[in-house]
Amino acid sequence: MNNTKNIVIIGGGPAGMAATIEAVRAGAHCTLIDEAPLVGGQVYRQVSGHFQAIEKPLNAEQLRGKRLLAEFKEIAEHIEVLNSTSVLGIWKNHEVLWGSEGASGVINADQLIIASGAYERPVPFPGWTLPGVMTAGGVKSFIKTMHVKPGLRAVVSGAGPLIISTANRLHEIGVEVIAVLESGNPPWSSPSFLNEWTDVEYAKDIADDLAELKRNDIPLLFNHSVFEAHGMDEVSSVTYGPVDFQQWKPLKDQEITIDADLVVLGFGFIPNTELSQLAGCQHEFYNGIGWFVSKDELMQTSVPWILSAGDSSKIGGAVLAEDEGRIAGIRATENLGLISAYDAKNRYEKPLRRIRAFETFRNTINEASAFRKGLLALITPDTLVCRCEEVALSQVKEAIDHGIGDLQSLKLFTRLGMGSCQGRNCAPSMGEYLCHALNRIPEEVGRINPRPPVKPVTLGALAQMAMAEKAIESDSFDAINRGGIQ
Amino acid sequence: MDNVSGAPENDYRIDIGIKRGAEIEITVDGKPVKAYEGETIAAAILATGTRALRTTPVKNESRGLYCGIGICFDCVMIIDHIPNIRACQTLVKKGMVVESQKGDGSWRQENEQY
Repeated sequence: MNNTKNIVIIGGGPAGMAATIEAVRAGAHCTLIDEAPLVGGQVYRQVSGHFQAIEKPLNAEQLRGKRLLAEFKEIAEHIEVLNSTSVLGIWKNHEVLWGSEGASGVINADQLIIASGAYERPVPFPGWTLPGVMTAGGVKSFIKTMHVKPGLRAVVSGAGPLIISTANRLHEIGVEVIAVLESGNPPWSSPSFLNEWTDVEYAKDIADDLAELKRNDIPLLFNHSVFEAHGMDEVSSVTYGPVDFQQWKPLKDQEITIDADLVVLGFGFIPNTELSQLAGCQHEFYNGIGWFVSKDELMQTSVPWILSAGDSSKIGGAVLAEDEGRIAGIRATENLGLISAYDAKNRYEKPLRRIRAFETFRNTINEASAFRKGLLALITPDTLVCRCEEVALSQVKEAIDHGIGDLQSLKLFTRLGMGSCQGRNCAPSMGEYLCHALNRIPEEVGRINPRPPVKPVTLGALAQMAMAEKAIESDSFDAINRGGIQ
Repeated sequence: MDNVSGAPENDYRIDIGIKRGAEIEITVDGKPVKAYEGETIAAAILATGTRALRTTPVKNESRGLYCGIGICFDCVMIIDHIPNIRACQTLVKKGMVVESQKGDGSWRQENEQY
């Protein structure tokens, strides 16, 4: 490389991989930072190098992953990859602090692409902290990479297409899926709707998953939800029932309880925005989804040197994330002056066209799985709303009685959001709760301010910083692998 | 909750579609547990049919694998005497000593046990 300008990409999922591919092709020097041992993200997670996948017919999603990973492999030797590494902080002077198990360091980012993905919306209900209650994405990834049954008899509950594919994957490995409970009655459940979108790959995936669910003879109940998980040390039974059409309020007089040892939850996704918040990017609230970073069509955030792509900025799934990543990689390279505006436009024209064509479909899916306030009625006074600090709803109500009306004050009053997950699993639902209880809007309730380090790190690892910085200069530090692919 | 290692006859692994790494042994709460290179600690324990991995500091409740992607920190265990390590993100190693964490897993508490 004849330039010393560096593009730092955070996240090795489809958006981060695609951004890196395009930036390298356009002549940029790139550093990719990823929390996993191998790139792929949650959706294209690779099995460990000790495992060997036996070739079998791949579904559409797996084929896309294989193609993108192959494309990434072609450029991998030209970049630096920090695997098993978290970004802990971002500062205005373009400094990015990273930390891994035994080390940490600061890297300079002339352009920064945040592609940190999303996580599953937490929906508290009695018993949701019991072992055996898991998120749908986590279950899918666990099955795919570990080939271990997370339970024997499952109930899958949530809103959105992910619960369908998760149920099929569970069935495939021999877990009995008693029912899939979809809180809404979404348009994607109708074949005629999906037929309108035959050119959108994601629509075809949903149609395939629905057909497979039918073949597997798994009941799909609309306007139903899990109400409660029961058990001493693990889940042993589940109560579920219908919810009303409008707000998904549980109709408890019609509930039933069945034996099950696994409850799988997939209530849509929430963008990971701690890093874009820390970096001072502007955010906006999308009703029923949550906060996401504001950006233009070419992935530029309000901070000139920071771009954002994929589910960490707006939920759209892997196909869209890849196209957004490509645009971000091209745009960042253009921002550095390595390619002309004309060249950049030619490069991002195709992915941009696909994103525009996908926009209506994306919005429909997002609206169908958007959170409805009726589900808040599942939370009893004893239900833990903050899993880390073990804060119950009754404590939140007490705080409200004391005049607390925003998330940051609630954190100081109750410790909610102070634990290891940094509020990821309490702030979204309690934000909704405060809005509902106090008749406020999300902007009034605010957010829990993330502070570095945004992921727990040992002082030992931070103490290794000087050594790591020195090593980066000499380009020999162990944590920097060439490649990052098996 | 007693121990996290389940009955030895349980094996929730699926053998279709995968060839695993070498079989190794780890210790979970003092008992030997079969594992394969490339597995996470969580996978090796869930393969025994047990999902409870720790108890919480305040309410002494069982917790296990929840998010599975490393963000919730619910599956933390004491790994080779170091507390608060995510079982879902940490790969097994031959001879690894795994303990279910009781409470906050502070170093002080750890030292008192030894």
